[in-house]
Amino acid sequence: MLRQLRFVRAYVALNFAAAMEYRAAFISQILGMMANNAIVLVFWWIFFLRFPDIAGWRLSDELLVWGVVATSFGLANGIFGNCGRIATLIMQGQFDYYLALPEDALLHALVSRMGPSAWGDAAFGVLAFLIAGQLSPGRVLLFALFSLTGCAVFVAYGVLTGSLAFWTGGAEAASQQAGNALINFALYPGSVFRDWVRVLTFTLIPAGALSHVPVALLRHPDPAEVAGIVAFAAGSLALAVAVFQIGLRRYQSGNLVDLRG
Amino acid sequence: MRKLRTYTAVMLTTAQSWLAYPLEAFARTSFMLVVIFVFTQLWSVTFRVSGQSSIAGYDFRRMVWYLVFTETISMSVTRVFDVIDQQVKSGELAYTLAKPYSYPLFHFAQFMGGALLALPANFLAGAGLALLFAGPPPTNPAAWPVIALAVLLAICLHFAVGLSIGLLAFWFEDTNVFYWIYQKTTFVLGGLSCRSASSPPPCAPSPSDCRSVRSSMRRRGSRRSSTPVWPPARCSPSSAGWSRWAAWRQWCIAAACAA
Repeated sequence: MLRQLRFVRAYVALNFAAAMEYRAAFISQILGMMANNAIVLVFWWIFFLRFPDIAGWRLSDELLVWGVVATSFGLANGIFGNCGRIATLIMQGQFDYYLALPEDALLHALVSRMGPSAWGDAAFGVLAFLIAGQLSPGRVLLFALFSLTGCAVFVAYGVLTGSLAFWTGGAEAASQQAGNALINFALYPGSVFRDWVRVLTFTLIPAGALSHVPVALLRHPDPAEVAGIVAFAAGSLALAVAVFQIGLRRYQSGNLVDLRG
Repeated sequence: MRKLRTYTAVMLTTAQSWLAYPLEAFARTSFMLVVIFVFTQLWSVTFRVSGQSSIAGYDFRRMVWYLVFTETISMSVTRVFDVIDQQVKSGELAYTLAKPYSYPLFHFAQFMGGALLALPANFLAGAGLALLFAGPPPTNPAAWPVIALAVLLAICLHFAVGLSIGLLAFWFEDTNVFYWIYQKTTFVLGGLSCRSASSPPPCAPSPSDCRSVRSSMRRRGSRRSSTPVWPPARCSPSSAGWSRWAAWRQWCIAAACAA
């Protein structure tokens, strides 16, 4: 476990160094993504000015949603940058490279890319959390914990939907749209989803565990429910790894000749 | 004429390549279902808890159909700036320029090949959900050709903006930032997610429509009809405002496309 953590840390450092080669582009992507997210928050600001309370959901809750989701997404795509591209790697036979090396193929594939703009998301998420207010040590700790569980859910979901490519072949668009659906559901007030849709947000599209429940817990902490979210994130990761390992038996090499810098 | 055939062939080839992967095409359309569903949930709760039957002149049905149209446009267009950005950065642009066709028109044909296939697919997906949750569209059938024209002009305008953003790669290392800002600005200020202040009043008739409705009501005398021909309340001075707004918007779109 410790060795794997060291491996991830070394790769993140390398990815940062590579991104800093194009310093202007890297910084502009971070600032651009922060501006991009801020514009969407303007929509919510206008919306909550007109309707201050949507079934118990207020602007401060929406800021918390953005805080948790943007930070989780930023961490997932900043550290495990290939989590949304598993289907592409399978389809193009690019796992040949990772399978030939001693490190775990999935972990190696996940960390070998960094989405530079993802750090803009992460920074924006922290900013949104700070703006939401009511800061206390307990709340900051919970926010950090939910950012990590959210990151785990994002990575697990990306691996699970991407692994469909082992069975279906072309799952690139399906995986991408599933990821978009998760973000879409996660960024809207949890109170608008009821009945069977609520069930959906804990199964097929786990937006409930990603943002709706964590935001409710940031308001009213409950140790049992916090443990439930941690267990959900760990279970999602375990399931994703198991499905990937089963699918890997069906993997076919692309005989791809690839140069890596 | 020969040039037109060339670009038509490019458009058809793009459309064929889209159709070669039906599952992929289906997956793209499925996201339209997700977006419309989420918006439907949001607005149904908003209408319920606010206790209002109409927001800025839009009732729930109009709001859902409004979103179906705006999302259809937004989801049927490809990221043309990405292709151009890559061609400028990789130097492929120089190779492409030597070919016997116009570079922007070639990309326009490719763009339209994808968009014209995606438009009906996305619209049908969104319309199906809207019918289920909100009922039939509150639109005069005579308005459909105008809507089709407006949608066509909107995607042409999107192409013009995408091309311009892509060509910024001559000066900037990364053009994604410009696209994000453009995309989110259309989302918030362009009235993509909800009607903005720059949008027209809902289904406002033209002054001539109002006159014909009034004269038909006069012909009927004082008899009350159970099915109103046109809500008389809508025959207000706002119609003239709407006409001016529509003319101004069409002029802007035409000017932007020409540019």
